[in-house]
Amino acid sequence: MSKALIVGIDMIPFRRYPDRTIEELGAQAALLALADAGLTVRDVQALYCGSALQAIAFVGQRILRQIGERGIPVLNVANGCATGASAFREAVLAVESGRHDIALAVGVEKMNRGLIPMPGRPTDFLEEGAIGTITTPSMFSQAGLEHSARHGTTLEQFAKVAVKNHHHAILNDKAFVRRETPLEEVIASEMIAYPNTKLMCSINIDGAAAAIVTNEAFARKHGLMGRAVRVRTAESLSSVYTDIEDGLTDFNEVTRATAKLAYENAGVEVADIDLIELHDCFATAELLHYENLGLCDIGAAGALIDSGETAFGGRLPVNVSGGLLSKGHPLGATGIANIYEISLHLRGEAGARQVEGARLGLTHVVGGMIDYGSACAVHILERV
Amino acid sequence: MSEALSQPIAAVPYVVIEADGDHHLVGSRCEHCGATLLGMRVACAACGANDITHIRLADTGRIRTYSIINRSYPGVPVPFIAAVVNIDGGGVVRGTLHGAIPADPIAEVGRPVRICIDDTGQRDPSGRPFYSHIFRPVEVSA
Repeated sequence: MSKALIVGIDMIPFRRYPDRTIEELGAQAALLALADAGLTVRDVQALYCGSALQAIAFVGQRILRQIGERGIPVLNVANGCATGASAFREAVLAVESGRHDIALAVGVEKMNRGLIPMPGRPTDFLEEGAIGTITTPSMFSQAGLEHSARHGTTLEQFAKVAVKNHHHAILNDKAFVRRETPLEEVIASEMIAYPNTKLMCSINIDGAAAAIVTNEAFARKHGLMGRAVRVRTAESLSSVYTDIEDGLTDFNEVTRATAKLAYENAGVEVADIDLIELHDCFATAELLHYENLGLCDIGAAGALIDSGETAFGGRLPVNVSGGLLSKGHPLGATGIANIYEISLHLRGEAGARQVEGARLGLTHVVGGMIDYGSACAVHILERV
Repeated sequence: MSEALSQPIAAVPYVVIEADGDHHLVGSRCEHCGATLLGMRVACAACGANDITHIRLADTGRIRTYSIINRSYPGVPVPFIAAVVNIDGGGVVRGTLHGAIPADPIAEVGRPVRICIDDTGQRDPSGRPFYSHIFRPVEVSA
């Protein structure tokens, strides 16, 4: 089985677009990705469309209504923060299976400001505040605090993630937040849920990203190999049972299991990876995922951020795009936007933030809802 | 108020309201792998075995992790302490820890708590009180 190739990929700048519909944003990203490949919608044989918040409302069909309704299969995908990556993975599987030669994956979201509402139980009882909390920052705050209690990780170390990623975003004109945030400012910003301050939380935003996936035979036949990026592996797992789940969604074990599968199936080790875009929905999460993805030993993430090795110019740069903390986090678009960032570097097209000589990159997203479970996706991409 | 209208309602499915006031949390124990799960489950989330016994969970435990919530949904009073508790004898449950906001934000981890089933202050449309669990710190004698 030949590995799938990305032959076109792009994202719109993540911004607030109050006057544009979700299908307009998704259509724009799809057209950008098609143009990047030199193809048109007439070449697309299947659409996998991710929208975490609106997948029940035919977002894929609405996008095709904007750019061309040609009777292709559409799968609308919702999988929490792994939505976009899950849609992308379906496109990869469709191509690798031989079912389709060209598949389009789109991830798109329009979001309101403030805490993301979570589905509750169908009663008149308001759980929030009475039965602890189910907000998204609180999940990662509690996971971070558990790490602090066990390993001594400090507020400063968590806050350094925001300093680093905001610094990276200065070089990314598609990011929403593009300004330096010194450590003192990050720590002094509004405390949302200890240890995550407001500047350590990703931003609800509108966004879209899209990718064109094909097989090697098709790419060669149509002269698309020049800027192709190989998908070495596309892995996704849901909840792996751990005993904390009845109190807090566990993002660690599912990430470890998905990453292990990805390294095994790609036949690579973490030492082979040149750059990573991982799921920094909150600053605490990035440090946990250093360990979950095998960048360092368990308990050593604080020392790793202190070392500077995960900053641009370091040994293994993480979130050179600015991450979710800077780009913003349009849930359904995030997974494909991460793949876009890695593709830029593997193609040597990342401009001022280019990680020189990048050959292998890894993307990671993980989402979850308290009492429900988790969804994780890891992709390893290779320069062709 | 009639007796029926003052009868408490369990606010969440894993709280059991007893007529004699001996309210408690309910869990499920897997006879195959020994896992203890919160609430009355269909089968075992840990191993998949379909061999579950419903059990009463203990009313004591220790704080596993928590966070001081300064920002919540509109209308929810803040700050409050959201905690995850390891229940003595098995099981994990999340809830609100009553008591003063701690000065040292990680000092509460490992602290023993009592799991009390109490009136949440919320009422259903007919006026019946929702009861649920809250965590109260246990003073440890020296």
